[in-house]
Amino acid sequence: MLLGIARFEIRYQLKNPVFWVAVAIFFLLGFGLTASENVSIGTPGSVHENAPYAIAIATSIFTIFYLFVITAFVANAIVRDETSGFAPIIRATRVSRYQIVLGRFLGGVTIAWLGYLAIPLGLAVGSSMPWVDPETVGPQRFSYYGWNFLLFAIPNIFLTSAILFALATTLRSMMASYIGAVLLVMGYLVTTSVVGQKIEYRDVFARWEPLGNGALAQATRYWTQAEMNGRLVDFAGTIAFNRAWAIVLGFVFLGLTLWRFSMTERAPSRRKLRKLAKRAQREAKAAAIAPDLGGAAIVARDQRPSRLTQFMTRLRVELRQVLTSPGLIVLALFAVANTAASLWLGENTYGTADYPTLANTISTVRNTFAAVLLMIAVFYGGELVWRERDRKLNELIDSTPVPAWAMTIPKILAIFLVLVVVNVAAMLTGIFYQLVNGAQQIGIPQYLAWFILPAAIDGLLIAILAVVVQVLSPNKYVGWGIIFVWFVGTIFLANMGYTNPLYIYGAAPGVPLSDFVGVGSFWRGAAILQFYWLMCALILAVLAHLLWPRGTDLGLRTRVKRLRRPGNRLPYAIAGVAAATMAATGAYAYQNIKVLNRYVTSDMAEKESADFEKKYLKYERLPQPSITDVKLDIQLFPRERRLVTEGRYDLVNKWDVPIRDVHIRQGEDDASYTRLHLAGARLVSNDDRFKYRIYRFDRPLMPGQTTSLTFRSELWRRGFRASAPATDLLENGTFINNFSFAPLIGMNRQGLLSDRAKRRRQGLPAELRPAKLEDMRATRWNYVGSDWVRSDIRLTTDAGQTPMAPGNRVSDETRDGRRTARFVSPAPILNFFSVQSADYKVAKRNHNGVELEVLYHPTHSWNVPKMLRAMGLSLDYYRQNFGPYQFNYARIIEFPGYQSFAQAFAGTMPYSESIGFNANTNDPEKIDFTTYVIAHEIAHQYWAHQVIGADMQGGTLTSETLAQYSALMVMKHLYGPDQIRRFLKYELDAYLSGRKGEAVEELPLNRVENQGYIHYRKGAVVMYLLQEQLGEAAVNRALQRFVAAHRFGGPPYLRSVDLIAELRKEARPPEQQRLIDDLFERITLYDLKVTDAVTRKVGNGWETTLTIAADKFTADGKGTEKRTAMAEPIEVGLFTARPGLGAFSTKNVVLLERRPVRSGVQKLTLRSATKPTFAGVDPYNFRVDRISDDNVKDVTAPTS
Amino acid sequence: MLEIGNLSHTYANGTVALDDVSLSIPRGMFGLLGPNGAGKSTLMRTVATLQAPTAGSIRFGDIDVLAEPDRLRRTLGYLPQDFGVYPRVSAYAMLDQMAVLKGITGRSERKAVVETLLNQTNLWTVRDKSIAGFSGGMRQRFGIAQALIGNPELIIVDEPTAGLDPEERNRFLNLLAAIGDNVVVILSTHIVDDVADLCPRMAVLANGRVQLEGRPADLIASTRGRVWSKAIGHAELEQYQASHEIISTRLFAGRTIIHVLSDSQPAGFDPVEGGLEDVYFSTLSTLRRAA
Repeated sequence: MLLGIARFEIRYQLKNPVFWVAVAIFFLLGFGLTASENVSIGTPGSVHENAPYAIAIATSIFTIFYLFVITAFVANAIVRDETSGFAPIIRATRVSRYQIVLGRFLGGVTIAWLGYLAIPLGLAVGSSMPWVDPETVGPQRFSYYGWNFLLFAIPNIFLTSAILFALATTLRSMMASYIGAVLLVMGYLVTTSVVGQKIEYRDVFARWEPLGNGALAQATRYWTQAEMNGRLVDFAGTIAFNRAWAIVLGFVFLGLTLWRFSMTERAPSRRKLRKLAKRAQREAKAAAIAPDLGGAAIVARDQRPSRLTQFMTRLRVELRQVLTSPGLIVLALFAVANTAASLWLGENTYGTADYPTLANTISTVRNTFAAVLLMIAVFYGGELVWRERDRKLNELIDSTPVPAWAMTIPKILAIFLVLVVVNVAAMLTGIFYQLVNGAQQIGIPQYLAWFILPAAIDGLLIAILAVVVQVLSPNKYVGWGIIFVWFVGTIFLANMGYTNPLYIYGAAPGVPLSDFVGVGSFWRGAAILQFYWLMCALILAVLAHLLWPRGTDLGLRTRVKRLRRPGNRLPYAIAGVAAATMAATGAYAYQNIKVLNRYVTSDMAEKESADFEKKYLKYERLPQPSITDVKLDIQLFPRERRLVTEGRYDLVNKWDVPIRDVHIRQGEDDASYTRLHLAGARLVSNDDRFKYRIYRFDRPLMPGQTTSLTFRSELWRRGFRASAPATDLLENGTFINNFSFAPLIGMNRQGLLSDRAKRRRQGLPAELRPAKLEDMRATRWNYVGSDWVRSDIRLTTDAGQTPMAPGNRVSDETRDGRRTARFVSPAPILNFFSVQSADYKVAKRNHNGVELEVLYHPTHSWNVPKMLRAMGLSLDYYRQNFGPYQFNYARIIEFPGYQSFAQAFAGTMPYSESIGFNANTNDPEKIDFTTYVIAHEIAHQYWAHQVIGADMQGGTLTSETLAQYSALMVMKHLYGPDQIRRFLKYELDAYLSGRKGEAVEELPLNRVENQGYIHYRKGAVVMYLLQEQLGEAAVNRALQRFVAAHRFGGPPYLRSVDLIAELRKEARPPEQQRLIDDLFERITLYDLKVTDAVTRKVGNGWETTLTIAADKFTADGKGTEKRTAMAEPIEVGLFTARPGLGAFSTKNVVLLERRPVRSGVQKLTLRSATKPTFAGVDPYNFRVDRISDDNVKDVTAPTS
Repeated sequence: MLEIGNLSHTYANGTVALDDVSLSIPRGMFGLLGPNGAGKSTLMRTVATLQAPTAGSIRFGDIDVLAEPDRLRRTLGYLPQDFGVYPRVSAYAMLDQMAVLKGITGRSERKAVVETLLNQTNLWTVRDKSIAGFSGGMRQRFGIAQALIGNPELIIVDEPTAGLDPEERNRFLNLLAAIGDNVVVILSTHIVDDVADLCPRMAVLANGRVQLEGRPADLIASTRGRVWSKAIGHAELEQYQASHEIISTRLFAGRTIIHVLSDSQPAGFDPVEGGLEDVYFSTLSTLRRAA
């Protein structure tokens, strides 16, 4: 009987179109994931499209979204009998409720499993597509798909089916079950993003999170690339526990369903009875009123003026239906929850919260749910267009003389209204967030102008699309399917680089926000494209009017025949005018996108870059003259977004060979050079495609001989672009570097393709790696690609703005509405710098002879005092320990938050609006990110701006790693060494996850190839351990000697080994020399762990015994590890709080000392005066340890 | 008044629903009788401008219905065979909305029309209730109320009494009868008594064709003296079917009463005063035999 019911259920659902639509959708999802190289979820770049790890992630993640499909199968199985009226017949049979419930469940879950096979199938087919780069595809093994399906899909779908079964049994309605499913998914996503992100809950989360995503992340956290590509998740430990838990939970819900499921009809509740009584009373009262008679003679005169009333009536009906539908409240709540989640949980780089700048808050609010809005529009589109037919009202209404537009437009407007309501709900959430977090400005007009209005137009566009598609499609589900395909199609197009908004419905150029200029002039492009698409939407709306499914014979062909009716002249006229307007607007947009600006698809850009490399990379090592002096006169016209530069370079031949040809490039294709004159040379080749010019001296430039280059350039940001606008020249907040407006001498690798797949596709070698450490010829160049120069820069801008460039400000005057400042550098600077101009507020402080300045947007004053303090503290430490500071000024200059970074140029440090200026770093439990970053950037005034590495392996060691070290030292002196674990832990985790994504080869620090996770992240950890072991003073002595030896040196430029040699001079015992080997010349990993810690009272004090397991490995560039013997002093400690968490500080340290630790398990005994609650080995994570959380364990009492 | 000429309709799946139907329908109540699947609803929907025929013409007065459907809609009242309503909407609100859609846009006019009709159809006391909760009879009365909005000149009522209990049916037919003789009312039904009770003119539609058209009295007269009945045992039916042209059978007190068609009195049969039912069934049985 049970199996019979299950079999019927399976057969029944196989005929359900929902099943096949779902299969199609999930197949496409899987297919898209592997067939498109730009789409991936949670897998680093080097992992194969069909790696078992990628399959595991996809298989487990998509089960969340599969919940909606399961609702259709499972809730339907429960609710079906009631809604179809078949229930009494079933109840009258001898089937028991257990048989019904279990049979239906068995059938439902089987069909759900079957349907989900679409995911592995899609993944497999997608990764077998001919266009997928074979390098990104591993072997196709059945086990990769099968095992992960067994491990994740089977239990997850069993569990979610059971939950929905219980839900449907309780709610007894399809709609309620769907809403329940939405809430479940939402709740799941919110909880996981809250709890799952917290390190302290990570273990608990991994164990109990029922869909196994946490467990999967836990099990694979430190997997190497090789493991991700070839290893199946072990069914052991957390994974095994978690999977069992999912199944147990599933049975609990199934039991609940069995208990709750009832075959009898429910009696009304007492509350319901009261309500009924009240209603009866009300009706009796109403019935007593006599009707207003006399309408028997009134004849319907349907005339033109009636149209408006008809329209308004229909509008009222639609609005009432939408506004009273329970779905809307759910959606508004969803919007609020979603927005709140991304506002409150969206965290900055170092896990700090942000102060709510207006631009950032509105950006977050606005970007949160474009796809959700589409879903809403599409859902309501189906419901509204089909409502009359679903309710069998269509014949009544269609036989009245109401015009089709009076039906369609109210439906469009109703959807539009829903979208506006949802957006307004999001806006209110944003405002609430700002109020709570101390915003300096609420900015309701900005919300309306930057968000609500454009979003409303977007809403109108998708509402019309949703309605038109439903009008044309033969049923609701096909309509939904069409929009889904369209949506996925646009994503695919975008991924393939086709992003021109002229052919993507509803697309418009991005409008980035900044408090400096608000929407700037960017809104114009968006508004024009929105108008263009509105005209298109108008044509679609006319189509919806003409093809409105009126009557009972609705074949599309029948309806198309109606297009020829004579009464259609007005709609055609409207469509004609719309088409003409659309064409005119399109032409204007085309002129902006393609004529005033360049539009290239990513394919074209990729090919262009490859062609450039093929043609010119061979000149990379050509001897070229060096720049010694730069003189610039820059005229900035902020309102026009135009920059005109007159300049002169003095050049010298520092080579020992004569130079015949000089190669001159542009860093910015859009700049036009109206003059470019190299004294003594003439232009022999001018490649306009690549903006590459070759000048030839009439007589070659002899060694030591000088010459000069004079030029005039103009950069004008006109019109608008297809996608992201240029944000360097702005009405307020210009931030542009000299590569964009001044010529570059010689070829280098800037802007060449780096992605392996793209390079191979273009017929280039897969990797373009820097010169080897041993290649001494490469020391002729530094890795920034700029010479040491003396600079003299005049920058003129509008009077209301402050012009900024590197150098001492020797003059600053305002005349005729223009402000000119001249900056002369007192020391050599790298010929790579930025100029900035904005309406700044300036905070100044003279600190030991250095003028410190912070230039910031007037409403962004939160961190300014802290920044000044950080600059002072950093300079003090560096001047005392590293050597003299080369400038008598240091400036932090805010720039618009279109990009989030801080950068160090000579004495000036541009710092983004959206990271440091709005970071709320006052939480003592979080990293003081503002100070940390400033300390880092100031350190670059030594490490890069005094000493700079050669363009070869290890080049960034002496700038980025040393800047990290310097910043850590500043933090250590500011907050105390016991606070440092926070930083180290952060850096360590970033390093470990960074090496996971390595596509080429992980290198030791001395050979780092500009790999951020190595020179920043590992560098910080390594340098901190070094100063712990050698002593801070010793390390600083080495650095001081190093700076003195190489100050402003080069060419030839220094190598990483020069630094390591200085450090070795400070390493006295051989074990310290070995430490340097381990840290700089090898990839060394530790596995340190406290397996047990027992304390007992002995006399006046406490004796704690630690059981420590220790291991040490060296890894090669691909992550293969080799165990090595270990015997070295390592810190062990006793604490009263867990280091690095909460408010841990010095007072929680009971004891911290260094003890020799060797490979294997060992016991250590520590004595302390007070009772410890935590014990740890390497408790502050000085060493690279893949599992850093088990270094510390809570201390237990002895078992007696 | 309503002239249907050579109307044919074939659905996309090949079903021939109407096959060269021509009818001339004057003012007054017109009964369109036919079994389920005869094409009645297709004909009704086509006349009600809900679908276009494959071929043929429909004129109502001076309106070419197929070319100017909106002109007909202005003077059309239509009660479909099966209709639903919006959830959470009362009879009053729904009727009011329908009045607007039919072109009665003046607020006070509409109030008068809506309230008059609610009163007339005895729905006044339940006007604030959601129609979704109405009984079948109430729902049909609401249906006729909305069809009567604005005094239409053509009223099409498709299978209105199906599923109503006798009392409700009676009440409903009384409503229809009160509509008056100045408008065209087409009553499509498979229940012979509906037509017999109400319609001065009628047609029988079967297999997509008009099988019979005329006044019920004339049609009845044509069978006078040719219908005979006999009460037989249940088991004898098969034997009689073989030897006689049985047009209908019904049960009475446990015996089967059969009616046969014959020009002369068959042995053992009694003459009966033929009714419309006999006309209808004899038409259908002729068709069956022909098939």
